[in-house]
Amino acid sequence: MATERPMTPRSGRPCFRYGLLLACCAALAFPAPAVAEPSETDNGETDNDNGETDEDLPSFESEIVARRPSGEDVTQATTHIEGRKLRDSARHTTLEAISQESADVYVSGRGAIHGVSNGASGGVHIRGLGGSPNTQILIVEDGVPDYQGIFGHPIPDAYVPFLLDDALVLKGGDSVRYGTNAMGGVIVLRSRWRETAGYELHNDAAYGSYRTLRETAAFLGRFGAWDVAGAVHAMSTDGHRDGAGGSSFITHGAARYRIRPTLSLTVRNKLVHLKGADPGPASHPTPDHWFDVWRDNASLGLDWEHGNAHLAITPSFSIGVHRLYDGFYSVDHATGGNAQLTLTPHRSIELLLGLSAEHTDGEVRDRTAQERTPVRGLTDLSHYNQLTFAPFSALRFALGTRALYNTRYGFELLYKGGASWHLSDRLFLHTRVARNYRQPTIRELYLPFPSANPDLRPEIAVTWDLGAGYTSAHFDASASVYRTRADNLIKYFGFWPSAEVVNIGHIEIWGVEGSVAAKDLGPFSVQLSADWQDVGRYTRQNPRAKINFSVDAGHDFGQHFLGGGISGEWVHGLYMADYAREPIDDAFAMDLSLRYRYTSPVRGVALEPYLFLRNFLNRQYAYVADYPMPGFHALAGLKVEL
Amino acid sequence: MNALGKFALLGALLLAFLPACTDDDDAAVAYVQIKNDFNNPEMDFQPPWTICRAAFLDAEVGLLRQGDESDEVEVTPGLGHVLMVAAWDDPTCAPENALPIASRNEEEVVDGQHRTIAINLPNHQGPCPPEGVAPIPEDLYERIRALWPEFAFKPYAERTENAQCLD
Repeated sequence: MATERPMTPRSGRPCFRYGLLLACCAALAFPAPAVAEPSETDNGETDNDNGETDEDLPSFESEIVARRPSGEDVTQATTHIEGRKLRDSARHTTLEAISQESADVYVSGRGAIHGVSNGASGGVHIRGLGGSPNTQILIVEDGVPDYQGIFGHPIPDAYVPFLLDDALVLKGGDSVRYGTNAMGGVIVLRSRWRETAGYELHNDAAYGSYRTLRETAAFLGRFGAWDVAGAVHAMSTDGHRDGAGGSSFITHGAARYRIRPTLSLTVRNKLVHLKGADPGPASHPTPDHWFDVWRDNASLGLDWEHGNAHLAITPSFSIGVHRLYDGFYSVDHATGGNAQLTLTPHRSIELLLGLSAEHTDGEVRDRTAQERTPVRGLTDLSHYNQLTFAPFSALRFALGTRALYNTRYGFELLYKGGASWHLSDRLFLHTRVARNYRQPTIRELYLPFPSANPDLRPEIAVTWDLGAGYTSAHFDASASVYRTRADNLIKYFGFWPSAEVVNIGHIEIWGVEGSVAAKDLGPFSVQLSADWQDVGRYTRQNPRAKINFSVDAGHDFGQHFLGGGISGEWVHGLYMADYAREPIDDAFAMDLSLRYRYTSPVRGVALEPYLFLRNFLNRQYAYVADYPMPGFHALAGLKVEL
Repeated sequence: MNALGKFALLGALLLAFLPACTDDDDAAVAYVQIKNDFNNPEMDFQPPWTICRAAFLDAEVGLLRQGDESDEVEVTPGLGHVLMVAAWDDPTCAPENALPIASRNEEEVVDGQHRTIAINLPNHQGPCPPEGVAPIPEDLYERIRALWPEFAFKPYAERTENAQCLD
């Protein structure tokens, strides 16, 4: 029984808007500077007046190993992670490997598979927003927002790093650029292409504890005007306890035809099949609570460059079929498209203009009773823009707005504004404020699990951060303070049969995060990141503090490479309920990885046996109460590259 | 731009972006109704409880027969159990038919919320429950005794000796 009443009006809190307005005025007050005309290098990078490329400018956090695509918000706090680092990670899943690189990203776990529905883990929190289901965090894979049409969140097990070029974590969200769900953060995953003519083959086969078998084969090639990339990944495991096992099968194929050097057409498809179960709490196991999920994501991409203009058009379609042990059956789909034009009309100005449209819908029924739950789809159309303005080479402003029209909710104006300032070659500051958005999911609107409310309205969050960083050849350090205010949060109250879901939640989060890294000190590299936050009453799976660290060492002996690393994670202040109820002991575990690589000088063949010793201290810990994580276990594998 | 200019600009930026607003939590209020939902037809069994007294956070409501909803009362937002005295099959609430019961769930209301909290078969706990009803914890039981001493409930250790339990 849900009872919906109008909220009592709250006093307005326009401070963020005033801040944005002042920032806009400050930006417009600067006269056009006398900076050198940017010139394009061979790979499209833009030089500034100091002869630096974008790549040379220090990043806010972590290392930057590749050029950022044009149009990115240069004032946003980010963590950039190489694809190879994710592939070499000892963590169970890609999302956990990303969490290992940044302490303000928290991903819960319960073993080798996150799963779906009740008992699933893999909820992503970035700076206190997100969670399970993680509809406040958006994952964008190759330019396409990835979420299920009905449930509004991605499947955490659907991401495997075999074709990843890199991952970029955008802290503080960016609904101006990415629309709904990009409230607390965005994880941008980008696949790679082979850069030179020829082909390469990768195979990674591994076997380990709990009869875990993992096989990945990937192929990348460039043949004339064609680029192709494809991979097949299969994994099965018995799991560390009854019901924790399962399997995943993922194929990813992409082809790009370069019609002209400045015009290309890309087609991409990813198919996921996931099987497993909710093992249930250790005290009340439910290994028969199985799930079976199929998903397919397809997209096209048209890229055209002409002078200082770049046009990218990306239509996409995804469909998923979910079956659960209790008779639940759903087919959901999300159809969308995005057209984005990036212009550089002046040496100090980059203008991004975009149009996007999305439609989500689906069908839900009970297989046993053959009853169908009626749902209605959601459609939105958006125009967005982003202006990057550099009055001086070291000072940049980024301003943007999105006018979003939803067929149910009408217009919503989203905005952002930020500044970054390189005080010297090594020292930089940045600050940014953004108004972000999440529309209710079809589940929240219509599915009575445990309650639905068709009158729900979108959630709104305003995020702000201020940070500083220092970078040099061997030492990086950065720190940020952040604040998030979110209103109209969709919250469930009570339990069946009297549960209700309403727009009522308000959250205010303060936090501070920082990282230090010492790189290439002889054979060693060390990285430490830490985060502390006050999330107010919404403490459920939203930890107060987190520390991640890693020590890596490696050395080349001609054709031979020997390396290894130790990584660890400590999570403090975990609760299973809001208001700091049902606390969980601090989670702490460390993993060890060892690898040897031999590269044949003649054939270019590389052989790389490796060994992961996970939780090698054999600690008993859990991210979810009564869902213990595996004790000490191992995985041994062999990579072959041709 | 000289160093002074840089720092002046930095100061302006910080002032521009610093969110200086504060919450007015002191004035926070939520609006709650309690519903006697023991006759909910979705349940396998409809226990004939009348709610004689109920308290939630800092507000109290009076008699609620089956299906009744209380008037809306203002409470300070927060989290708590609904504490009640309920009479078994007795709308007159005679003490010999009454028992201390509480909501099974710790109920939450937030600032500005209007919420109806339903008390029904799965959402209650008591001192001498029939099969399937959770036992009430001692702290909740004793708080109910303190709130409504006129019902003269026995101490927690003797809770099963209350007259209604013996029927």
